[in-house]
Amino acid sequence: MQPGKQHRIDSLAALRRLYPWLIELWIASILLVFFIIRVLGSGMGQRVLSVLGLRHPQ
Amino acid sequence: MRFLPPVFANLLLILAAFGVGSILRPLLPRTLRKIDRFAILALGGLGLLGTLLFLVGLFRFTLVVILAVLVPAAFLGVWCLVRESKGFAPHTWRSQVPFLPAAAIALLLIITFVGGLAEPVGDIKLDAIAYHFLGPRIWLRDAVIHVIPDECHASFPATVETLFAALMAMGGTRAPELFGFFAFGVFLLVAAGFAIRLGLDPGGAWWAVALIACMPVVYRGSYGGFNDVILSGCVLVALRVALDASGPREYAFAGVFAGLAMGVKYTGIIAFLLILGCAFLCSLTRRTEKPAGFFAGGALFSLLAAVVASPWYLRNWLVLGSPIYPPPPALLLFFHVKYLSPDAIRSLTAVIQKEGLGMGHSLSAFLLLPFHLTFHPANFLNGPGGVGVALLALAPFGLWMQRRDLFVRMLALFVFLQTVAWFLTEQDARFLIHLYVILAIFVIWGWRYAVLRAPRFGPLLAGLAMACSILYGLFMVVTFRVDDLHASVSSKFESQRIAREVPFLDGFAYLNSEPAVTKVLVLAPRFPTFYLRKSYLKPVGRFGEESLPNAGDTQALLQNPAALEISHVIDVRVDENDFKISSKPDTLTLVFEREDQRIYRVSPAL
Repeated sequence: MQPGKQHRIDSLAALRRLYPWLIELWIASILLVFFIIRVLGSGMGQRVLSVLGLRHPQ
Repeated sequence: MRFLPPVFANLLLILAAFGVGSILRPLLPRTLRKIDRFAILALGGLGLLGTLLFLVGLFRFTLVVILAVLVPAAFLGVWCLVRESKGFAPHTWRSQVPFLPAAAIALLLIITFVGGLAEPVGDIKLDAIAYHFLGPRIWLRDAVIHVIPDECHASFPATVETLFAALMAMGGTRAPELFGFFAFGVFLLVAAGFAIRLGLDPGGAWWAVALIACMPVVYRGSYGGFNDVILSGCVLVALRVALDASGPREYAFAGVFAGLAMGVKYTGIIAFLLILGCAFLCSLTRRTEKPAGFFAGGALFSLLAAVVASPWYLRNWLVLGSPIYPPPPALLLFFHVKYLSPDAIRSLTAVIQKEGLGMGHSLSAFLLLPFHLTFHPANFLNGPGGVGVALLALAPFGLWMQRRDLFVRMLALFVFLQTVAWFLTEQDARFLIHLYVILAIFVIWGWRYAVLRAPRFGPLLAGLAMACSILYGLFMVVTFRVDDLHASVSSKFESQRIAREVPFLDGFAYLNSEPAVTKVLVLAPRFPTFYLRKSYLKPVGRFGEESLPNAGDTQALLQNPAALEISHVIDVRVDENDFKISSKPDTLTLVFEREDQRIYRVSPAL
């Protein structure tokens, strides 16, 4: 088998192994950003952080 | 007892909608399921009933006339429901109802019903008070549907507002608020039918509907005078039937709904054009019918859409000078309109552009739009609460999974083009509700794709995205409606709320109760005349509408108030503007005064 073709097959196989991780990474990163911005960033989130002492007093 | 009239008014209206909708039965595509038939007959019936009441109301619009239309239609509706219920077996799908989405939907419907029983309150910044409920109140008072020169937004197509007027006549001002419950319910049925058309099983459809119902932006478009769920429902039906159409009957049917969409809101015009284009492409790609077949069908689609929408546009053209009123500046080249000067139109356009700027019109803003709508929805008009996290997290996978389906590809094209049109015109988050519905259905496919292709953490993460969206949406919706719910169950709180949120309450109480008040001159453009039950004259409206020649010159108007046939003048301080009358003319006598409101009686002419 030609080295180029073998390399392409290896790359595809690696991508296939990686694909589930990419799906999970996409969903997880969106959830994380949503949690930070929409939940922690909301008025109620800020109040909870203040109560827990995790928010710097303004 | 105070809740019975609005409940009965809405029940009569929805039965009448089924009755009027029954004229669509011969056109219904045979492939539709029972759920689709119920949803489509109700939605089409509501639209056609609004149009019919408008046409009748142009001549006479009283409770007797409204009942004369609604009662026979309701009898027809009962007959239609009996016919449609034949063969309907609820026990066959009851076993397939997943508990969690059904519970979320039930909770939202209960909130919508109970919250809908509250009396509408608020100042003129609320669209409902400014024009959605103002038109109905004035039409009923004057016993005829007519243009309102001082409020140009009341001349928008008003299929839903005409229904509000009928409800208000029968059930008082609570009744149009309660209509949100029925509108939302019918819209969710349409969404469920669309989900099943896209291949979801009943369980998946329940989840899709729960996700849609829990989107704060979608929910916002269903109550408080907003008509967006009716518009989006009509667009979804027209789109679905047009893309699946294989003959003139289906094209005609889709055309009726496209026309109804245009009769609900001007944005329906854009949807109509896009549906026509996508249906043409779909027909070409499918190659099952000859191009001539599509052209005949497309012509029928356009003709019926134009006929159904024409009452609103013709009335505006004949009475106000332009079919689209208030006109965009480009139309001023062709039409000369009444009551609005070119400067007023330009400043109104500037206000709309400013409010609908969203996060800008640049290419980067467009590319980042899905992220902005997910993470910063409050930056868009009527966007607070947003659409949840699941659309961005899962819908792309669903689209990818279904990419080989031609119907899906055409839907994707429609979603893209509609988004572009929205992005370039007015970025009001409510105007994309039909797209959120389509994308929410793909979320369910995306969920399944993630479970299938990423079996380790995919199920957990996708489930979390769904849970986050639904729980966050429920929290936001309850936050929106908490005061409405409280007002519905507590008369004391409702009275306190009215005292707190209705501006110039004492002045309204005086004007509405004093028998000597026959016609009021309202000097402040931003005075909420919805609460005024007497006849009134507002020379200058919110956007510079002028209902009289030389309307801006208050002193000149007050020189001869008898000529205006007014009995009283109300002058208020609103939005940091001072009283208009600085020195009282001899023709007026101060009869009522509060810190921010003064009422004068017009002295009889000597």
